[in-house]
Amino acid sequence: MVVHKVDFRGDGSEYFRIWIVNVLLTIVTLGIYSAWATVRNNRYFYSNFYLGDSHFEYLADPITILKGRMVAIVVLVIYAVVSVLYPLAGLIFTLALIILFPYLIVRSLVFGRRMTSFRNIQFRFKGTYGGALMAFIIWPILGVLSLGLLFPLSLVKRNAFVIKNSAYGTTAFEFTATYKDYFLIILASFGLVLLAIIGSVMLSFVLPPIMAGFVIVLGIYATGFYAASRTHNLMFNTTFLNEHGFNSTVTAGGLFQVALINTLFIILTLGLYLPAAKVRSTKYVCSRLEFEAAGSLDDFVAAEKENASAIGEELGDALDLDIGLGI
Amino acid sequence: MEIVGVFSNGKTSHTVKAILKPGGADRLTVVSAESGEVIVAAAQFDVNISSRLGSTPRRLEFFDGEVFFTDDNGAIDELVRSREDIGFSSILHTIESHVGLVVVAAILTLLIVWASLTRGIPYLAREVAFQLPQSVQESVGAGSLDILDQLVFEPSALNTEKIASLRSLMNPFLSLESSNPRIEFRSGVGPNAFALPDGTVVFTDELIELADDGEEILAILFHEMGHLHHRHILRRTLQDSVITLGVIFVTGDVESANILLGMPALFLDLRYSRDFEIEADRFALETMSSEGIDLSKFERIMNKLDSLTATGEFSSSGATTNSKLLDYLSTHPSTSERIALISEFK
Repeated sequence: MVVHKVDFRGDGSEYFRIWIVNVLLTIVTLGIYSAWATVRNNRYFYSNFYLGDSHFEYLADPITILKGRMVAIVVLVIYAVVSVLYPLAGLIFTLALIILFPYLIVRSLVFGRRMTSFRNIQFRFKGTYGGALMAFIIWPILGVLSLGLLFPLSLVKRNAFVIKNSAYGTTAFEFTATYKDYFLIILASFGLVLLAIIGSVMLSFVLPPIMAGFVIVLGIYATGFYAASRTHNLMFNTTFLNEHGFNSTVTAGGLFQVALINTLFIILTLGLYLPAAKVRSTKYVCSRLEFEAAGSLDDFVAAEKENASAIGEELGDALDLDIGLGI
Repeated sequence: MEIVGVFSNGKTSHTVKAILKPGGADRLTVVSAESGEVIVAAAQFDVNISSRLGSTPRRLEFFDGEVFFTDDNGAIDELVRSREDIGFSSILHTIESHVGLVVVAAILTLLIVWASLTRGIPYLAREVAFQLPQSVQESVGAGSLDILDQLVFEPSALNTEKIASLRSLMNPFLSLESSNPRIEFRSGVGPNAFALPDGTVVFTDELIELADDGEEILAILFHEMGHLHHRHILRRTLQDSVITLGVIFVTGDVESANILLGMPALFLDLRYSRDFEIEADRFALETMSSEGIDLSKFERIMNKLDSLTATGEFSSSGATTNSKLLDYLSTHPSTSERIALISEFK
């Protein structure tokens, strides 16, 4: 087995220069340049992302993204106007968007994967409307209806839909996480919150109530970082490409440290630290990730060329469908 | 000239070390680094060369999807110097690598953002708010009194005669504002008054007790009617939405928007509230002078509110409740600016 380092070679000050020019041009063109800005930002991140000696690439054409964005804005403006002037029609519109939602997710994933390339082989996505409907609407509803008992299963189903339908060239990804894996993380998170509450109640006998309240807030934050680190590691460690796998070892403390420094600097610099913050968190996550290759990485085969439109992705973005997953 | 890199044919993930040789007549030839065998060759204009982006590797795509990657940005820049289709991106790279221009871009960006937050967005929100029908403003605030009743307000302890006399005091003036405000009495949040977006003005028992006479109560009423007249809550809602959308659009992701939006919430709230307070004061003072009410009444009641809270300019409701909602809706007590404004009317 060969262990390949996953390496992010981006640099905070270099990305700042690219980012600030993007922001300025986006503002002075009243947003039109944002399509080009998106491509330049994504290109910078993908191209600096190395597996062994090879880097990833982002291939999208800004014009495609601009078209998608314009469609999204037109739809949203119509939606806003209609729902103010005719509340009933707005309701029908909302219903239509819910029905359209799984389709948008699929289109967004198809586009995102298609535009990602490694060693000149593109990724692809072959999920269906029905699959997205189950993974993003039906299972989450069942999770709530079962009072959270099925919630871990809904996480498994969602990640399985996204990962198993993804492929590198013609080779599909595998995803082996189980109900138990997610259940244990959620159980431990509940335990941590409970511990924080008990601790704060006990401390309230010796400390002023404001300090005791602070302990609860701290406990909830810590739990957030714990859950984020464990689900992140779980997702990578249960994802396989043929016999190749990942080893992710992100820790709650590490994530917390990165988030603390980033938030502090962003506030102190009136937001100008934002690009460097993104580089810092990407660097951290990559430094804790390895790719365990079972053999040569030379034999993946490209799929047939297909065209992917950006409309799904942009409409999804505009509606804030952040599905927060990406390999 | 020889450019070192890696070649991949686009059919499998196999890569080979390769060398790009710019030949005569604008031809580009890729040869194997080991054997020196020609792998692919094409006229330069048939090769799609990616634009420069920092120090990231360049991609040279040939007709059949074969790609040559290289880290040698300098050599590729040299190669494409004459090509117009890459001209704009190379301008971008020139700006990005020039420290002075980057600083100028950063300063310009901060200035534009600052100007839009303090001038542009409030101006737009005002223009839009007055174009929208009254029903929109009412729908923004629909049910807000019910919510406040459940969360913070207690029923008023004033007796029915007192309420009747207060109503007959205020009734003649209500039609001065086109939305024809409705008056309500509550208690439980200290001396305060609120203008709800659906056109309800709420007085607290404590405020009524604080006022020495009817004219001081009218001064407060006119201030609240000023909030309604200038559609402050609708404008506030519009401003907040535009800022959120703007941040998402400019920075390009929802994640950073979340961090950045904490800041306007902190700083802009204060500024926007103050501007709105001044507009409401102006309305109150104008109305008082046209109705022939002594302007010093306004000063007196505001001073009394101020001395009660006395924790600073913007904490009128903060002293009694921590509700964000109340911060949005509450009147703010007198400030030095307020005194200056009054002397303007005298």
